[in-house]
Amino acid sequence: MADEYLTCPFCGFEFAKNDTLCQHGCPLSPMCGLMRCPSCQYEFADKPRAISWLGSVLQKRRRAPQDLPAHLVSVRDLKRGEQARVLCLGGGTSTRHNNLAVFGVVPGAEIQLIQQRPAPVVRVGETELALDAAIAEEILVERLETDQP
Amino acid sequence: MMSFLRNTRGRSDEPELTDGGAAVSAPARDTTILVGNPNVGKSLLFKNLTSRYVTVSNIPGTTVEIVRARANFDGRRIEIVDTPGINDFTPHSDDARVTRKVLEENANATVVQVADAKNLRRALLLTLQLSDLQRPTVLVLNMFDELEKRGGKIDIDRLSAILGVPVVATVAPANRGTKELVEALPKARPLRRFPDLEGEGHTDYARNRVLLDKVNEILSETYSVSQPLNPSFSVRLGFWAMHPVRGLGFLAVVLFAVFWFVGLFGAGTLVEMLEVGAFHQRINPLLINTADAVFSFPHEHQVESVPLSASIPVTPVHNVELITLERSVVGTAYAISDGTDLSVFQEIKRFFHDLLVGQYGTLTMALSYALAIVLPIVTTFFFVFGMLEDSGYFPRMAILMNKVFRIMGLNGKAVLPMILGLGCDTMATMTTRILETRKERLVTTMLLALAVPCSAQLGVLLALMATLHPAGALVWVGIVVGVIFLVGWLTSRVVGGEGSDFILEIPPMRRPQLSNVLVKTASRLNWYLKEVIPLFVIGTAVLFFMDALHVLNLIARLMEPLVSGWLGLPQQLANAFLIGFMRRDFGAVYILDAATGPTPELSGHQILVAMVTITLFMPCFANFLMIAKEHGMKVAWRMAAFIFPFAFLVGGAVNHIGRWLTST
Repeated sequence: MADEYLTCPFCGFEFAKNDTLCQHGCPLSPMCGLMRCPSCQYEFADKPRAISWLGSVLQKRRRAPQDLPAHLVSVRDLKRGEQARVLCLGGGTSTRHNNLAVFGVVPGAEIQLIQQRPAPVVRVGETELALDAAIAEEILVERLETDQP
Repeated sequence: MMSFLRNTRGRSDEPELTDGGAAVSAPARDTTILVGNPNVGKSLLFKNLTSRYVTVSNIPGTTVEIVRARANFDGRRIEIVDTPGINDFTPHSDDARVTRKVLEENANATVVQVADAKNLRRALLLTLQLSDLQRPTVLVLNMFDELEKRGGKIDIDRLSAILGVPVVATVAPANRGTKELVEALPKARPLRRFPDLEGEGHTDYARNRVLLDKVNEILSETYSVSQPLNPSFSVRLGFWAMHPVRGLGFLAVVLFAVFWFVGLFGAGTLVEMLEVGAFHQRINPLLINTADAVFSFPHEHQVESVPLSASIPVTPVHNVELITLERSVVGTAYAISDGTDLSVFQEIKRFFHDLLVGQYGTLTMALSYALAIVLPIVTTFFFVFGMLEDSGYFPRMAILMNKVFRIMGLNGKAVLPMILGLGCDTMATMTTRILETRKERLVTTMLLALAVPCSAQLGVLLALMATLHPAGALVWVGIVVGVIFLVGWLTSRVVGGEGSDFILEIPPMRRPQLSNVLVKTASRLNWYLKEVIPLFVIGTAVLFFMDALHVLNLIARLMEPLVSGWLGLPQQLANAFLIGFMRRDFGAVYILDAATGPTPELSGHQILVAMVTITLFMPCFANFLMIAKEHGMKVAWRMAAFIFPFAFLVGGAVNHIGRWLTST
C-alpha cells in the first residue's frame, strides 16, 4: 500500500500509518480521517477526500500502481493451487491484522490459493479462509515452488 | 447482556447463566469449562459429557449463549459449562468477553480446551493465550479421525510434556475418548509458563505474532503431515460448491431440493393430509359435535362434502396419486333453527360454542391452522435446514453471495441469518449476533422483519401462488427481492457505521448425521410451537371477541379507504391485515381463505397485491419483541413505523401499476 508510510507535512518526520496516535481506541477515529504526527503532534488529512460521488467511484476503480519488487505479488495474482509465503498483510487496521492472525495468516505463514472467484479462498494449514477481494489484494506474498507439476 | 438472553433453541426449561450466576449448590472445585475455537465440537463434547443437547451445527459460532449442566462420573458431581467458540482470547469480540467473564466467575474451575486436531496451530495460539491465567487445564484434541484421514500425526505424549498438561484425543460424533477425558480431569494442571513469552508484544497483534512463533516451534516437534492420498468425494464437493460456475449449479440443485421437500411435499402433501384429512374430515366434526353436546342450543350445522386428494409431487405439475377420499362432514357454519328465539342462557351457551368451534373458533381455526398448516411446513423446513447446516454448505453460499450483499453494506456472512429467517424470523433476528458491526446487525434485522418470509408464511404463500399464473409468482419474487436490495441499500445509508471485513472460515463438507439433524429439528420445533400455539389461540380469541362486539366491522370500515381504495381489495380483507399485525402468516391464511374455496372472491391481480402487502408486514409480535431485546425498544418502534406504511405503499403501487398496465 502506498499510504503505509506517511510523511508529516509540517516537520517531515516519516512514520507508519499504524503508529499515528489516534489509530487505536479513539472513539472518533472512524469518522475523523486525520493523522497526527507522532513527532510534532501536527494533525493533517491522510489523503484528500473525494469531493463528489463520481470522484469516489472513479477512485475506487483505479488500482493504485504498485512499485513492488518482482518476487512480491498480491494474493489476487496467485493462480488456483499455487502456494506462497505471506510477507506482509498490507494496510488496514491492526484489528484486521489480528483477525487474520488468529486464523494463522501472518507474515511467514505458508498459504495455498484455492480459488479467486467469486471470492478469494486460501488454505492455511487445514483452515480454509474466504476473504474479501479488497483484503486479498493487500496481502503480499512470494510464490513458492510446488512439487506438483 | 447475556442475562436476558432467552433460549431460542428449545431449551427454555434449562438453567441459564445469569450475571453472577456462578455455581452455588455444587462445590466450585468441580466445575469444568469447555473453551476452544469455533466449530471444533465443544457442544457435541458437552452433549457426550452431560447427555444434554445443545444445538450443534457445522457452522462456526453457533453457540451464542452459555449453557451449563451437571453430570455424574462415578459418583462425582461435575458442573460443565459450554462457552462460545473464540479464535482470540483478547477481548475484541462479544464471545471472547463472555468467555473471559465465565472464567473469572468460576475461579476454581478446570479449563478443558477443545481443539480441532487438524487445526492444531490455531488451537495452540489459544492455549498460549490461556496460559496467562494459570488455571488447571486439559487439552482435548477432537476430530482426531479427520486428522488421521488427512494424513496428519500428532505426538500426544510429546505435546503433553511440552505444555505440561494432560492431552486427550477424542472423536466427539462417535463418542470416542469421552471416558479418557473424564479420567484426565483430576490430573489437570496449569500450563507450563514459557519464559521467552513473558511480557512480549505491546499490541494484541504483536503479542499474537510472538505467540504464533512459539506455536510453530511446538508444532515442529509434535505435528507431522504426509500428503493425503486422493481428495475424498466430500472435499471435491466442497470445492464445487464454491466454484463460480459449478457453485451456481450446485446452488440451483440445492434450492430445487429445498423447494421440492418444503414447498411441494411439506406444504402440499403433508398439509393436505393433515388439514383436510385429519382436521376437516375427522377432528373438527368431532370437536363441533362435542361442543354442541356441551353447549346445546337449537341450531343446525351445515353438512359439506370435503374432498381429500393427497399425492406425492414429482414436478410442480406432475403428481403420483396417494389417496383420494371424499367425506360428508359438518362444517363450522350453522343456522339457528327457524322460528326460535334464543333465551339469555342459550345466548351464553352460543357464545362459548362460537368461541371454541365457530368461524373464529379457537379450536377449529387456531389449532387446525397451527398444527395442520404451520407444523408440517416448519418441520420439513427445519429438517432441510439442519441437513444443509451440518453439511457445511452455508459458508460456501456466503462466498457466492458476498459481492451481492456488499450492495447493502453487508458481507456474505449475513447469508446465514437471512436463510434461517426463511425458517423463523424471530430465531434469525437473534442469530444476527454473529455479524460483527451494529450496522450489519441492524440492516439484517430490518430485512428479516420486512421482506424475508418465514416458513409458516412461505407455506401459505406457496399455496396462494398455486392459484396464480406462474408469471404472477415471478412478479412476487421479483418485487420481494427488489425490496430487499432497495431497503437494504437505503438502511445501510441511513444507519451510520462501518461494515466489516469478510474473513470467513470455511468448514469442511461433512455428511450430516441423521440423528443429530433430527434432534436439532425437534428442539427447534419445540421452541417454535411453544412460541406459536399460544399466540394463535390468543389471536383467534381476540378476533372472535372483536367480531362479537362488532369492533371488527368498525375497524374494517375505518380501513376501507386503505384496503378497498388504495389496495383495491374487498373490504373484508381488512381482517387479514388486522390480524397480520400480530402474525403476518396468519393474515396470509385469511387471504388464502378468500382466494380459494368454491367461490373465490379475489382476482389474480388482487391476490398478487394482497400477497405483496402481507409479505412485507412485520413477521409477528414475537419478532417485534426480539428486535426490542436485541436493539432496544426505540429501534423496534422505528422499524415498525417504517415497515407497515411501506408494506401498504408497495402493495398500492403494485395495484395501481398493475391496473395501468392491464388497461393499456
